[in-house]
Parts: sequence; C-alpha cells; structure tokens
Amino acid sequence: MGEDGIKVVVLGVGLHPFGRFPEKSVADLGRTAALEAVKDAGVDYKDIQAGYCGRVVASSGVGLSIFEELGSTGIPVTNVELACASSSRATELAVNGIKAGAHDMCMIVGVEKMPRGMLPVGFGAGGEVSFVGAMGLALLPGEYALQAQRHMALYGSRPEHFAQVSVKSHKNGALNPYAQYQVPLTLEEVMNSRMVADPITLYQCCPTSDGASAVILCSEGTARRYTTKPVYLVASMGATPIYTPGEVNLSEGPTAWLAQRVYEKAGMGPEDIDVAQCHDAFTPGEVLTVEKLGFCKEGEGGVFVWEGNTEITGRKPVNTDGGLLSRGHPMGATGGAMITEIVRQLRGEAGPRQVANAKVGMIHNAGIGGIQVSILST
Amino acid sequence: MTDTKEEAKTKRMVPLREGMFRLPESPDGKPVLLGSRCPRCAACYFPKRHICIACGQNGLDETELGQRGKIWTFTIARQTPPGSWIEAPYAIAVVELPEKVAIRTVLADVDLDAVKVGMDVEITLAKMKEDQEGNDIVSYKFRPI
Repeated sequence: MGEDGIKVVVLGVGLHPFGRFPEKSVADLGRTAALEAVKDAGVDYKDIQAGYCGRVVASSGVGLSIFEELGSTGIPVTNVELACASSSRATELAVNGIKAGAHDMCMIVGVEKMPRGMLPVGFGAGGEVSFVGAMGLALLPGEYALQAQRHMALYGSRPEHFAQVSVKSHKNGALNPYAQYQVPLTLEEVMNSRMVADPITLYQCCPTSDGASAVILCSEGTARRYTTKPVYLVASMGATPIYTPGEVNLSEGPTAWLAQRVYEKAGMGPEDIDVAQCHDAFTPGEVLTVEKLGFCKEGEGGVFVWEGNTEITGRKPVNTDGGLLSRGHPMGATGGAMITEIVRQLRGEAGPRQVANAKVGMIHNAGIGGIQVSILST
Repeated sequence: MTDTKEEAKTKRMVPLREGMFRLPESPDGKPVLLGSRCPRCAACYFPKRHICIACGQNGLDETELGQRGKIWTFTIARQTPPGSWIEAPYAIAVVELPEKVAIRTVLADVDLDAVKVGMDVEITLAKMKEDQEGNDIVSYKFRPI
C-alpha cells in the first residue's frame, strides 16, 4: 500500500539558529531561515506559489511580514497555530494543498520569539488568573512529570532513565551548530540540577528560545527539475485526544493510534524507521514516545533509552540534532526544525550527526491542542 | 487576634470558583465536588460540561461526586508556577473517583516524600486566602486517609 495522487518532495530546508536574539525581529529570524531554504532548494523566491507560517505568540499578519521580506508576489500566505506543533501542522496543510492541486511549490516558515521562564498558562483571556492557575495546577513540566511518575510506578523505570534522554540530547546538540546549547552534560549534572517537578530537573526541561525554520515543498514532477535524489514527505497526519470511558489521558494526543494510521498510509512499520524526531519538551517525552511509535514494547521505553538505543549509533536514533532539550524550542519553529534534521539525515548531509544508511525518518511533534506524526523517505 | 464566636459566625466562606463544589456547612466539614452526569448513559464528568462525549446527549445533569478516591499519578511541584496562590513545594495528584472521573488536585496534610501511586485520599476544604471583606476564599484539596 502506498500513497495515491501527487507525491510531495521536501526540496529545501533552512534554519535560523535557536537561542536568544533580542535584537532580531520575528521577520529577521524568518527571513534568515527562508533564505537558507531557498538557497538549499536551488530555486528563486518567485517560484514559491503559497506560504504558510507556523507560530504561536506572534499575531495577525506575521506570515505576510516574513514572506514580504523576500518578495511581494501576491501568493496566499496562511498563519497556522498548534502550539509547539505549529509548523508541523502547517506542513501537513501545505502537503494537502499540493495534493489538491491548489498550488505546487510552497514554503512553510516556522518562527517564535519567547520570553524567559515558565510559560504563564494559568491565566484567562483578560489576564485574570484561572482556577487551575490559582491552584498551582498550570505547571507545564507537571504534565510530563505526572506521566513519568505513572510510568515508574507501573513499569519500574527510574529517574536516571529519563535523565539519560537529556545526556544524549546535549551530546547530540554539541554536534549541531544551530543548537541553542552545544555543551555536553553528564548524568550527574542533569540529575543534580534544580528539581522542577519530580522527577524532572531543570536540565530535563527544554528552554524557551528565539529561532526560525523553513521548509520548501513541491510536487515530485517539479522536484525533478532541481534534484535527482528527492526526499519524499510520504505521510503527515494530526490528531487530538480520543475519549475512552474510564481511561485517564495526560497526553497531548493519541500518539500510538495516530502512528498506526501513519504507518498504514506509508505502507511501513516501526522496523522501517532509521531515524526519528520525538517531542522531548521534557525528557519523559522521548521515553514514552518511543513506545508509542512501536520502537520498543510498552513500558520498556526507560530501559530502551538507558541502554543507548536512541543514540546516533543506536538501533533507533532519536533527536540526532539535540531535540527540543538542546536544540531549543522556539515553539512555532520546532516542527520545521524536526523536518530539517530528518531531511539532512536522509540526504546524508548530517555530518558528525549522520546515521549510517538513513533512508526513512519519522517525526512526532506535540503541542497543547494536538499532535502530528509524519514519515519521510528517500 | 483571636476569633470571637461572633467573628466565627459572620466570617463567610467564598468558593474560589462558583459551581465546582458545594461548600460544607462549617469550615470543619468536607466540600462535595459537583460534576455532570449524563441522563442517558450515566457517564460522569468533572468539571461540568454540556454534551456527553460518550453518547452525544445534549444537556447533562449536575451530580455530586464521591469524596474519596485513589491517586492515579502525582508529582511534586518544586517551582511555583506564575499566578499560583500555592507556594512550592506541593504535591499535584490525579485522583480517580468512584464515578470513573479523574480529577487534578493538590494534596494537603501529606509528607511529600510519602506520596505514592495507589494511595487512598479524601477531599478536604482548603482555605486559600482572605478576600477584601475578610471572608475566606476556599477551594478543595485531597489528603491521605
């Protein structure tokens, strides 16, 4: 079983480094990433027929303000928001636009500028504190910590299993010149950093960041004019939580259920995946997701990570560029950055981060509001 | 600064948010959570909602929820989030109630090192702070049985 209709190729990718850039505007960040993608694709900006902008905080008009940095060609530009998965969802919409024949070559720019510190999620629209906020329940690491504690109680996984995700992440980030943090951390440093919500310590939390990503897609037919080695975006689908009576759900969405559907659409299974990106906003994200993507059995994610299976040289390399933890997390840009790293891996352009013989990549991106799972392949 | 009997009688309790729980008669009593129950399929929810997501029924009844449950999972918040009236450290728990409703809550009267998945807990009134008229703004927490 494969996909029907127009096949979609990722023709170009680009990034603005992730970190702190107070002197740069959202348009500056987006322009830099977009220029890199245009150059990477070998196209001219005027070849772009539609634009999509994934972002969370920046308000109306941000997409146009970025695309207008490159040109004023009349194309439709759409702002897309799905919290930390904004540019992933924007990419799916762009894929659907190509498959529907609404446009061919298009660009998805993901961008964010963020203040430091915990995200203030416990407030209502008028700035008043909500019930959940006043009761101290609006604690983002808390959601992942709640999942980790349940995992430890049910399966015997240990705090160091989760911490190891950060050790690996920072080791990989040190090999990524675009990463916010390029310094390896030891297990002791990770575990001894300030506890935020048991078992998640400070170095097991992703930072807030400024940054941008850009992805250029086109049809297979158009791609032939520019490359002899296309990378295909085989499937990209999204989901929100599914109510099951009596079941408790703490996750942004039904990852295992969605992964199953994406595998079916791609005609593949977990055994086919050579390299992956998981949403590691906090370390339990990787431990739980490798189970849900079928890389290991339910309950074994902690040991799977602990034994090195998700290292660049492991059986199932995850977040080879440092992930959210080390690469950084400008919310709107992260989805595009995940795609960028997978594309570089599949092209053999990942340098010291290169996974040998990477032909198929998988991406899991989550946000408050839903999840997105994609498969890319040479 | 002792409360005289007069002051104790006139000191009112005001819920942190209306409609989520019923105040006890006195500050020594326990609140009762108010959720929704589907008149068609009996599914329960907290907080209240309008439409049953099990069967689609539009229009749900208010229902009282059980005052005891089990900890399904927990964490210890060590950093006070923005806007919180509760200072870290404190325990956050997901408590499963008998109506198959899972609620998020804060634990009271508990040794933070002793919290475990599976612990039995009961609801308790929690005084949060005083309002400008000197009334107690109250909410609910859960504590070990």
